[in-house]
Amino acid sequence: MIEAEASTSSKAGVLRIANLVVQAGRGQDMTAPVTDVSLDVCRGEAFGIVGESGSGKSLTLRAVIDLLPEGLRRSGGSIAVRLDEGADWVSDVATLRGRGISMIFQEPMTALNPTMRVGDIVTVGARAHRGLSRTQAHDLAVELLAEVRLPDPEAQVRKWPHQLSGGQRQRVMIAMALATDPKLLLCDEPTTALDVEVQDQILQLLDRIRRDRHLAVIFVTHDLGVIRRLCERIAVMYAGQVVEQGTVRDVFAAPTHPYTAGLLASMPTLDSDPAHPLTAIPGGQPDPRERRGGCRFADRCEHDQPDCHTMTYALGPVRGHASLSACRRADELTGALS
Amino acid sequence: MTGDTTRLSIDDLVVRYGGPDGWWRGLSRKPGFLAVDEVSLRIPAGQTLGLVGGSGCGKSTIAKVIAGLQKPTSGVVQLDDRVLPERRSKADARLVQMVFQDPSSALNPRLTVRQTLTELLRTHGLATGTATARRIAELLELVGLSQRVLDVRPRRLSGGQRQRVGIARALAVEPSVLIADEAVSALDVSVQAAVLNTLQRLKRDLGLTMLFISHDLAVTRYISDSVAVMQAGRIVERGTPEVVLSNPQHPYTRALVAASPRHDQIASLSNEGVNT
Repeated sequence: MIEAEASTSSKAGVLRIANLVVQAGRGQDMTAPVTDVSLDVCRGEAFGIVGESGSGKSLTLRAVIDLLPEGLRRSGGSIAVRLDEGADWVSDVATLRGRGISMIFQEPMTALNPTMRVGDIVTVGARAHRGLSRTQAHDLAVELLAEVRLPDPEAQVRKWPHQLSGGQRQRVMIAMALATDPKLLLCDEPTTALDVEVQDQILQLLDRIRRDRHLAVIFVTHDLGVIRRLCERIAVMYAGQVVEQGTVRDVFAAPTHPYTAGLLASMPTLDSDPAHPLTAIPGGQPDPRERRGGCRFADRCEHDQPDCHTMTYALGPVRGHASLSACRRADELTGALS
Repeated sequence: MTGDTTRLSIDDLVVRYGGPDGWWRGLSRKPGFLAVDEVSLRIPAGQTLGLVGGSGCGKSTIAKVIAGLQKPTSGVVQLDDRVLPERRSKADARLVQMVFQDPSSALNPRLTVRQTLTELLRTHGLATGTATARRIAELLELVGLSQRVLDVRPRRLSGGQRQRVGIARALAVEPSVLIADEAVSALDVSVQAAVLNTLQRLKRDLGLTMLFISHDLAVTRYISDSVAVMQAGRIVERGTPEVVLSNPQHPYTRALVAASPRHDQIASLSNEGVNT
């Protein structure tokens, strides 16, 4: 707690999410894929949101720039962004899309317009928002493509997306995100579609850009390896809620929620003993329609007690730990989890 | 288990996509794309060979050739010392079965689990009448699925359940060799572990011979008796997982090893950002 709080208060906040709720459908069919997400991200910080598919991690990220898929809406909670230190918090986040907040998507194949040249793709946002001339746009494109370390940027500007490899396309997407000079960069599984070696280069690039530009970056991923390498603090999501939050160091070394512990234990590693079965978590994540009251992980949890199935959600401190946990038994369990 | 007799072998396999076919191949200036370049592999009975490599390295092409779904440019596939023809008879097709990456698109969305398995057993004449139900129950138990999924269509199943149905479908025809092509990579970590455990158990209990294809070294190591690392159509390194991982020789293998998670790193990690 001490460490996490100290770093939060000493740095200026960029993003504040409180009690976010995202709903789908209406009336009888209404479900809430995201229900309890609260988090703060500071200037220059790398923040990770980790969870399995369906945990609501991508929806949370999309809610931040008001880009939820059709049929979904933010129905509760607040999101506020402050791009400059000392400025006012802005809660109408849609106005900041492309003017201070940018997003990088998972699939570089489909996220780039195939009918535009790379130079135009990179600067289309900047031209719309900053009214650049063609020459200015061209110079900016070359500059950005050099920043994302594409070889011979002058030549790349004239290329079409299909002439680029997956890694190069992802670099173009990053250049495009940087064109509007953002303060907050949202990355949705930025390297999942890429090969191991390329993955590594892109992660290093993103880390360098974050440091150089003092950017706040949020990484959403299911890949614990990516989180471990890039992030300072993380939130672990399960079934639409944040179940644990803390520094990467604390959460990975001493998880305070049984789900986090299970996730870490079920990951095959190079030095685990192949003769021993992996510790799988039985069952699956509950569908938003089939969630019952109480802790949403209780049905899969080996430490559950009757009260767990009726408790109300609260993310709170754990004795002897700096992380926040949604597990009501966290105080007594932490020894058994790590 | 047994370990000495070779169950599956491929010799000098070459697959070229897009180039000209036939006698004028040597005369053309369009070489096509060489997806697999003289690859030979051997899997002893009851063992699992892990084939690791990045996308486009040719690993799935090898799987398709073994399963008879892709015609090789040259080279032979042998099962129990018998050359498998390029065009497979129904009986030959049964011998090699595949589990695919994406369990949501690999199953017929209009058939229930029961219909999927019944159709298969009937087509291959493996069970009729009441024996069908018994065999289906047996298959579900084998892959750790409850009987409740029998009358459910794939849409209503979770990813892990779908992949188990995919495995049950492959096992239904009693294959000699099972090919798992990125069979767990689309699954969540916690679910992936359960499916891996299932494959591990099947390997032990049924003496299954398996080709396990993956881009993930840690996953492959967990299930494989030997590992072959592939890059740009060639096998660049092979051996037991321990040897390959503890002392990787090829730069590509080293990159793979460096990018794979280790438990000791996770427990004692630092916050200084990218640490390669």
